[in-house]
Amino acid sequence: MTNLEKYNYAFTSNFKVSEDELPGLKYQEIFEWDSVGHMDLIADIEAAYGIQMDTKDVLDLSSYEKGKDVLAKYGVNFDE
Amino acid sequence: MYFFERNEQFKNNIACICDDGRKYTYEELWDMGDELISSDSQAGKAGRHLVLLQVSNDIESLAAYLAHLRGGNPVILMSKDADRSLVDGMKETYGLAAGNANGNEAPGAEELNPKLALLLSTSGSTGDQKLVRLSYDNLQSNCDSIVEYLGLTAGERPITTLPMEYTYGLSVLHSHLAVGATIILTNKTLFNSEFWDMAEKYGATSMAGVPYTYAMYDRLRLTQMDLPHLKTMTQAGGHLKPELQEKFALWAKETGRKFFVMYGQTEATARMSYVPPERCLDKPGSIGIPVPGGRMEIVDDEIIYYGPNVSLGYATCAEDLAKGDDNQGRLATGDMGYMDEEGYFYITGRKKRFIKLQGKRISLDQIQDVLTEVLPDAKAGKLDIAVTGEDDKEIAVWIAGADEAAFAPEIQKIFEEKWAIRGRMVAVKKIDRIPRNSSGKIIYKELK
Repeated sequence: MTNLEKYNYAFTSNFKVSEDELPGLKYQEIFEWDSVGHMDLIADIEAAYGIQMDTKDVLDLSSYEKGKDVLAKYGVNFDE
Repeated sequence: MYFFERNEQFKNNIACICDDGRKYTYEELWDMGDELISSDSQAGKAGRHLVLLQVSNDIESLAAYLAHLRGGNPVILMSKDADRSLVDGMKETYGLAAGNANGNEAPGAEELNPKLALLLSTSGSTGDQKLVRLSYDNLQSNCDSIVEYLGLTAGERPITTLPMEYTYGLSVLHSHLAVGATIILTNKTLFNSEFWDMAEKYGATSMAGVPYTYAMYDRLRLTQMDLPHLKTMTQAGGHLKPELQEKFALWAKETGRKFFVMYGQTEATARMSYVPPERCLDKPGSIGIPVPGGRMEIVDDEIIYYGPNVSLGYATCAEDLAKGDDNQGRLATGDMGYMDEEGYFYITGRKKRFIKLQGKRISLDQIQDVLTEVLPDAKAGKLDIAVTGEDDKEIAVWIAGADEAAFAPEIQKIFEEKWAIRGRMVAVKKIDRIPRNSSGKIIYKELK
């Protein structure tokens, strides 16, 4: 899987949404992405890229788009 | 004096700091509440009457709730986020539905026990309409116990981390209002950076949490945050993982903080026992000693609690609201356990099949009954169902008589719709037949 595919899969598998629903998706906007869902999402993202995110970044990952910016800091390149 | 009454001593204290940064004195909180509920009497509901209040951690909810307590109106508390069907069901059951669709009439003042103050659900959002009946004295006595063992003063500034309609979240509010403290009242979750901004800016002195909250604190590395005002952490709502308990207890010890592990049930207003923080490390897994004013003993391996905070009983219909004190200060907790030589209590299991899932108390038997009722094949006897689970682990639905693939999506959908339990927390498993004993009872321990 490419980095983007892994990223998208973390969302689609946790929140039961399709890929076209991902743009603009925000924390607490859907029932599944509550604080419990956020814990699961972060765990899956960390496992997918083999990283450990800082507290600030766990909080900053508050939308599908912001998450990409956050992960760039950990060297995740979405063009690969 | 009750904690919800106008206490002149506190009138100029700051009662709440809210999401928008606004601060409200106690007097402003009382006045706002009186104004909010005056619309009730304009609507012709003069005199003592039953109220269903949907709340969240905001100033209007708290103000209205306290005003109803002051005004003597028994309150059913539900979440503002509660499913419409759950709210409607509750209203119908207790005679509050508009137009009284099913003929239930609102109970009159003479049909409400004079002692009745508050009605709380024990089951979170499982749709059970059974409510615990709590008296004014229940609320005050538990409040007094909590103030005493936590050593609360007007200088405290707790930040809300639990829903107001949940007995533990509510007890945090009650106990701090009783001492004139300042509540940082927020609906922000732990994963909103605004939550931590408020905790820092307003100097939160304490935070509460159920086991799942502690998993989140751990993930957010709370123990490494710079929160110099944070002095007290409390935990209740189920058994905390031993490694997390040790981690937070050690951190508290090393940084001069207090970490309280506690035990309670809605049936006892909120709290029954606590572990004094200095014993937290050498009493791992214990629920501690009874709260001031309470007493516990083991009868036939079950923990029995005695105290003025034991609820009056349950209600399942409007007529029950007239009932008196069924419990007489004695609560069989349904938790099996033992007491050690120092008088510390331990839970070993549950008498009935309840589990805690993400802070919600869930009856496996109720889920099993509902599934059997709503799945046509199960109702017709073609499908046999058993439900098992453990605290904070996925719930297993065992089915015999069909392929799991055929039913898994439907079953998961039922969990989401009826109990707001996400599908990934539900594992549907196929089994040749559900093990039963000679009298037809399911042998749950064989389902593993």
